[in-house]
Amino acid sequence: MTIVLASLVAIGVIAFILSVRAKDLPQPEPVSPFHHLDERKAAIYENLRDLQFEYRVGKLSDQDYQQTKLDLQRELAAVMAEIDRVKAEIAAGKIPAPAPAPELVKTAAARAPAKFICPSCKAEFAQPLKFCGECGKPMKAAQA
Amino acid sequence: MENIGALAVLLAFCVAIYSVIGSITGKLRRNPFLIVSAERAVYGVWFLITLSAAVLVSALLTGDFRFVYVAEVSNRAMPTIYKFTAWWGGQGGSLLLWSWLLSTYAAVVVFTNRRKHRDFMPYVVAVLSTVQTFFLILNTFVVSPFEMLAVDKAITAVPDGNGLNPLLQYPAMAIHPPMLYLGYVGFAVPFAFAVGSLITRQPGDDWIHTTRRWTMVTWLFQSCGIVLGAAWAYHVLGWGGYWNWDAVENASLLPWLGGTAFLHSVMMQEKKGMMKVWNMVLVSATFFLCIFGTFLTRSGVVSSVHAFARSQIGTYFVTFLAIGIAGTIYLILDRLSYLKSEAQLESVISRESSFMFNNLVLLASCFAVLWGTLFPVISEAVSKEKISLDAAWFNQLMIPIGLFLLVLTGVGPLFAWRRTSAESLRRNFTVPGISSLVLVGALAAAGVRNFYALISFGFCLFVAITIVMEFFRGARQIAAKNQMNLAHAVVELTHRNTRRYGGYLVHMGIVFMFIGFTGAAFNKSRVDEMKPGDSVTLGSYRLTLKDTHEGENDNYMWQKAAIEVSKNGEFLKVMEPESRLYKISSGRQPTHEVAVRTRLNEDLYLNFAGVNGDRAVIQSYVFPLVTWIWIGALTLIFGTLVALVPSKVKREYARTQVVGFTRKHVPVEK
Amino acid sequence: MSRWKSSFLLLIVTGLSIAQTESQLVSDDVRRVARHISCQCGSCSEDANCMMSAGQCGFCKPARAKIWKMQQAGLSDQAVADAFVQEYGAKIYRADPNAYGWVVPYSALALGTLVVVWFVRRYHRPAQAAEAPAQTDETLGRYRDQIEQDLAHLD
Repeated sequence: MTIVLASLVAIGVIAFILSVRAKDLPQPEPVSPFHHLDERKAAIYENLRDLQFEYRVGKLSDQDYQQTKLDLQRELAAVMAEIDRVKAEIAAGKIPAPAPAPELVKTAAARAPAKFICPSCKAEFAQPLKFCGECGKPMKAAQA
Repeated sequence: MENIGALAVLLAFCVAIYSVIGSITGKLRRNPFLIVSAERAVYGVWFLITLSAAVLVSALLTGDFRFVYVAEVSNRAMPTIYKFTAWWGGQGGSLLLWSWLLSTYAAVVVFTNRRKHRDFMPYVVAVLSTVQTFFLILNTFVVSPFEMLAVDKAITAVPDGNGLNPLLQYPAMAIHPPMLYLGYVGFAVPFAFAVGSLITRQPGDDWIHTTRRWTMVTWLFQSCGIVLGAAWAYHVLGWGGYWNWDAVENASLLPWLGGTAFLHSVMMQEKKGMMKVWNMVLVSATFFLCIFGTFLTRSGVVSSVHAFARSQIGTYFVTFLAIGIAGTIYLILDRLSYLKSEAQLESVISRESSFMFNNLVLLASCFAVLWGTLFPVISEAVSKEKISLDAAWFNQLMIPIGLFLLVLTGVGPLFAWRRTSAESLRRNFTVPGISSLVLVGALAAAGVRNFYALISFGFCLFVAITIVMEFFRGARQIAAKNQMNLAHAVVELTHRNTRRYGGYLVHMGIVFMFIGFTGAAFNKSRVDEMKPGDSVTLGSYRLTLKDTHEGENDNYMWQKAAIEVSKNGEFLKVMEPESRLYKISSGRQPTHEVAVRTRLNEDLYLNFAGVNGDRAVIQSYVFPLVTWIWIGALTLIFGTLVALVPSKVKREYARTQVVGFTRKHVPVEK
Repeated sequence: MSRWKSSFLLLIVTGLSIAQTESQLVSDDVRRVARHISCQCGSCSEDANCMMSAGQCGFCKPARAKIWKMQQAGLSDQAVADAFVQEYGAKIYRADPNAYGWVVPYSALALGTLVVVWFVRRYHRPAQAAEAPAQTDETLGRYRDQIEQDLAHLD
């Protein structure tokens, strides 16, 4: 009895671990190449908002407020310039356009070569996309 | 059944090793199947440990005294709830609980991130599984809870077990270890994310954003665990204290201090992209302090009231710590260039500097506690001289540092980010500064002569006023703008930035706790042998022993003293402190159920210490302000919960758009 | 001579069977001496920090009773401790912690302060002196409209 139970548990666990099929591979959420820059931008906006609030409630002197605001705006501009630079490089093809993790593209592409069609606007794509590049609607159904 | 339990743990050990190797190989070889398989192994480990824990718990509940562990920590007469909590009443079970909690955390992490952070998740899994493997080594080979009693190779049972240590048969103690362990184990997650992010050189602070809530929840568990331990000591140990600077208490405080420093310093990275190396160091230090805390608790290297357990696991822990710390240091040094700070300090007088001092003092207090805990060991090793450290020595050491921390709690938020001019300082410091000076003057005039108490009350008021002002000024602004009443505006204000205002509430909790700590400067106590009818006076209380009576149940015998309490001649109530003798539980030492009359200004605390002939020995104490510690703890918990609520999103920030990533507006919650 | 004297006193006090209670045994007076005596019960003798003052083992309790009795007999703290050293050897005595106990943590704090000061000075750069302000201002000029537009929505 014990031996049977023990074997069942062992076999069950090992089978569960080893039987990974292609469709069990997770579809990663798309990661924008601007992700960390956007985060940075959002953080600076947030800092600006805090600064404004602290100034309004009277925690800051005028001079501190103006100076810090200028600093933050400068940083914001620098981040925006960086975003534009990356955009330009993508447009010029210097760095590849973002795609889901390469290994997954390979396996998915092997199953259904070439065509990914948006269910809403019928646009065609060579890569699996989470959202349609034309109309922006979710494209998950099209891949399955 | 015992075989299934032991086998499950052994299998879990193998599967955990597979998970480590699988995820690293899968990542290096770019094999997504192997990566997913390694993640499934994490679920597998969870299932197997759950199974073995179920075996152990069912043995405890049914009283299967063939198990060595069950015979050690359980007996038939114990109430069912304590049969269950006996799971963590001894060495083997505690470590199994550790493993189980870690596997649960790991499974949750893998599940919630199954589609996120694909590039560094394999390393996160590898780190978590490595830690898991270490604990499974202990569970399997060193202190297995599945050892059986045997006579001549035949498994036998004893008729009844030794029972759970009577001191642990108390509600707060039943949940104190799991709370503390949840806190210890939880820091493995931020640590794993930090390492994963470091190995793959992630740009940005994703690991911090992802683990922010984890860290806070973990920190909350740790705080709860520590406070429950203090409450337990206060109500059960009978010496009337809540903190004895015992090695095991210190072990729980160390990672808490490290974690607190980490929670503060990540703000520097999020706001300004600074202190990246430092945050890596802090999160690693906190994690290793958690392991170190488990080591102190479990190995009995430094004896204390808690050191019920003593075994050979010390070497394993030291080895694991040494390898882990060396590896982490190497990794951080190797990636130093990637951790470069993005920003400069604009001014010396700024929030940034105050954060650095906050970190410094938190770390210094952590070091001081660590030093004090290990000092007897170090001293004996170096000079061969045994020394004796007691709570009084620790108090002398820690009170100045604690007060410094307290005042930083108030001063820090008064500085503005980047720069703070004299004008801004004047606006923020005048009211709290003058108020606390007035308070100190008034107290001194009223006859309070204790130097530390005066300073502490002054600082408490200072910090409290800064926090109240913070809420008041913000709420007034919102109320004026949106035509709402002030109370509503306070809620609105908090909801807009739950993290900041939740943090202020936590600070307020700390202030309350310091008020409670300071009360200890005015404790009064006496010990009397009383016959029925005798009266004694303590402060404004008059205590009269009416009688003593006794009785028994299956588990223990008890004796109660009925004491009539009156204050300033006015009858208050009859209090009944109790003394218990557990029948089977080891040692047969009496334990005490103290009677406490709790008021906001002071506690009257009576302990029935024993009998001497026909006289009852009554220890009576008056503890001023001690309730504020528990109020502070509740405030702290509430504040942390507030900080965990997502902030109200006031504005969505435009995302940079790329074909294929057309989520146009993503709510950014800070 | 003094050795004989203390042994004699010890004899007397052990002979006296004054009824003492646990409460008296954990009084501050007893604890003050007991914390200098390390427990010899065997199960905790390797420990560096035995809770002699509150322990419940077969050594601690009688030892506290002995201390109490000696105190009742009028012995000074030092004399009580000496009597124990007499009986069990020097290893039983626990000295008060030396100055390293507090010097080390506070020097660490001082050292840490120096590090923070060094760090602040190293990373401190007044905003006016930031490199190429002209260039950043030019960048700022380029994006100023967009920023202003975004900021207008800030609450």
